[in-house]
Amino acid sequence: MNPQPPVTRMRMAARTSSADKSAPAESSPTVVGLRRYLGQWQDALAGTDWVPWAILGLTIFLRFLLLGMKPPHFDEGINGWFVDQVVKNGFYRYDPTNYHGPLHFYVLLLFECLFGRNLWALRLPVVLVSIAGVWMMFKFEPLVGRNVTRIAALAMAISPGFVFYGRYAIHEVWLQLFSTMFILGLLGLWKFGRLNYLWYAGMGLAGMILTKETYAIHVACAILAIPALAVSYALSRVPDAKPAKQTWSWIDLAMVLGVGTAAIVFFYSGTFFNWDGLKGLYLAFKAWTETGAAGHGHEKAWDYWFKMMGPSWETGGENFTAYELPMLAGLILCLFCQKFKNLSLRYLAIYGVGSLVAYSYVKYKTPWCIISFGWPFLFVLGGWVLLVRPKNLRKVHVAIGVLLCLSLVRSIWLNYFRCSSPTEPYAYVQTYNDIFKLSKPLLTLAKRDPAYYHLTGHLIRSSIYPLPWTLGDFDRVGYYEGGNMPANVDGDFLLVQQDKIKDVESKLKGSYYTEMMTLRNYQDPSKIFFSAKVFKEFFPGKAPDFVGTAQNQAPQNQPPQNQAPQTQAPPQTQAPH
Amino acid sequence: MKWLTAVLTFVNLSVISGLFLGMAGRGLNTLTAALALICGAAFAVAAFLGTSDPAGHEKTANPSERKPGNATESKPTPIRSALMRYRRVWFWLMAACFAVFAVRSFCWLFYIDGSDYKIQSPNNLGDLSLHLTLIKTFANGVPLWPDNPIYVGSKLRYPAGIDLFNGLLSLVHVDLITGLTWVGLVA
Repeated sequence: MNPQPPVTRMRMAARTSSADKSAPAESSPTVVGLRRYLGQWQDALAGTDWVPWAILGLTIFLRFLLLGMKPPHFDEGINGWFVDQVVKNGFYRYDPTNYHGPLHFYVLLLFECLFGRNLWALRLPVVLVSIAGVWMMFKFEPLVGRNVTRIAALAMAISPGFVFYGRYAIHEVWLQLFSTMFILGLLGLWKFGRLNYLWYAGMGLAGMILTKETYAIHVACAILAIPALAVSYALSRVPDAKPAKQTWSWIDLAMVLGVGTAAIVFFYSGTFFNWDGLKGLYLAFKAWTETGAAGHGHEKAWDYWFKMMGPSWETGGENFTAYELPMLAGLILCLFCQKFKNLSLRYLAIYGVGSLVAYSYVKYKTPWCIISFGWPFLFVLGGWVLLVRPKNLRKVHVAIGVLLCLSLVRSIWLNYFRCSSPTEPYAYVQTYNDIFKLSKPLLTLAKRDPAYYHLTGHLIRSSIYPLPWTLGDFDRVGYYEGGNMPANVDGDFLLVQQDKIKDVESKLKGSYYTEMMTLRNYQDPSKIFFSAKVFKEFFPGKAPDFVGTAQNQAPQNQPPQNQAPQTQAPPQTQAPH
Repeated sequence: MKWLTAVLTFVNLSVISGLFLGMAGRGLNTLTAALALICGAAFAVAAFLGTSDPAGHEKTANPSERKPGNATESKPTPIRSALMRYRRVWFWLMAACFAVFAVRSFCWLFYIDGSDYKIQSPNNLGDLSLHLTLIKTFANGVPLWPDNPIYVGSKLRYPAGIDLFNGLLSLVHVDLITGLTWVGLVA
């Protein structure tokens, strides 16, 4: 018998719920999910310590703010050009005599594919790595304590050098991140013996090998710091110095080695397209030791790093306020290394000083190396609070606060007001804003109409980077150096080295607007010629500055008939440090 | 699972919204494309919040299913626990290989080399030309549903949903090659 609904003519009251008053009403899965998320977030926020997040927020803000304001650096241009070659060839051909490890180029390639071929996309991965570097500092908390970690992380977040080179598409930030990871792994294995630290050490080492040949310095210093720490311990013993029992097995070790080796083979072999690249893993050291000893134009005195960190009047007075006072203070505090009751801090001090000595010994010095070896000193600075008696703690906090404030002001001044100034030692081989005189009109036209990517351009001067990358999408641009000249000099735009201007002008037939520009310091000026027909909108109400002597003008929008535009040859030197 | 649902919903609902808006407005433009993508994003958020991860459910739903054994069985050796820890190594190996092939396929799907447009796979030549034509057709704002752009006098019968999605991206000024790379890598 089938049950039937009751039949009645009376209006029945709605049935009251048997559920508790607080029972939730039935809702869609989305509303339930939203409530659950809000609840989870509420709980998480209530228990969150905001200091690390505030430091990370400041890190992100300083690194992302006006990221594209600084013209591309010489090395950024070269790195971008290499990415173009990876697109063309399908892989990165590692050459141990000139260039760095492959990881950076593949990451740049991925970001250019995802976000386009522009300066912002080129710098984005390094910005993210720089932020990860600050985040990695917080991972030292179980080893050196909360306050020390936070002071070190804050010092790194606002440091002029870490911010400046954290906004450059160069290898140095990767090396800093991986070396930090490697040292964190070593210290964690000694102190806790846990598996995650084995992965930190292994991946840090693999990452360093994939980044730069100078990993050898860091590995050697990390190893040599161990006996030095043993001597330090013998001279002044501290409690709780016994290494922890290792809780990982040989299978874990095999797995770490396997992943690291696979990554190294994968990238150095040009993703299996260039097995000879693997030889570069050891051939690199021969070239690198020669470059490091000779200097190749980047020779600096042994005390160069001290002048970078502290006040210096040598470079025109710009660095009299000093770049890295917190780092310098940390370095000075290394003198009191024996006073530290924390062996991790002692190790960091020894490792930091060892790296500084090694980098000072190498003649070839470029300022961005300071972030590779300078980070341990930030921990030592933080360790200052452990060295003093409680009654003096406030004074130390004030002193550190003053140092950090000075560092922040210097960082803002350098990164947002003086980022391409020739008198800033950190802006080393930095392209001047003058480059925008050439690139902005060209890119504006090309953005409006891609047909302008076919403009004919002749760049008649040496050491032209980063222009081959900036103008990489312009397919009719020729690069001429060492006395070479196109058969038909006339073009839509020209960039001519100072000593070639008269020669070029005698061969020009068209009418041009002209401007002088200097690409970077230690380089003579160049003259830009903009064809009056193409660029007249950029010079409103102005007559062409230069009119060629011949009356019959050559067609403006045609490539040279006798000589095809040359592709810029790969650069012969790149800073190995 | 939540992310998969969200991404699929975003693409699907963006396309459907774009189609309706395009039909209503007799063609797509920047505003309708942006609206369609915002609608897709809103539905994606709803899908993300409304989906639960089955793995998590199983874990919490059956916490007491493991049968208690003797002491030696319940306390695994370090080697055994290490092997258990890496039991998904083959999955990750496969995922890494897949990622390599995906990056290789889609970062070189369609690229510019000097004055040439190039594609990695010659087998893609015909297909990609058709897809680019369809993307441009949608992005040019033709009334929806359009005529076949390569066969005169016929309606478009090709399942062109993903091309419509790329058309939406083009209309909001995402570079065509970049858009193709995104869609390829996400797919």
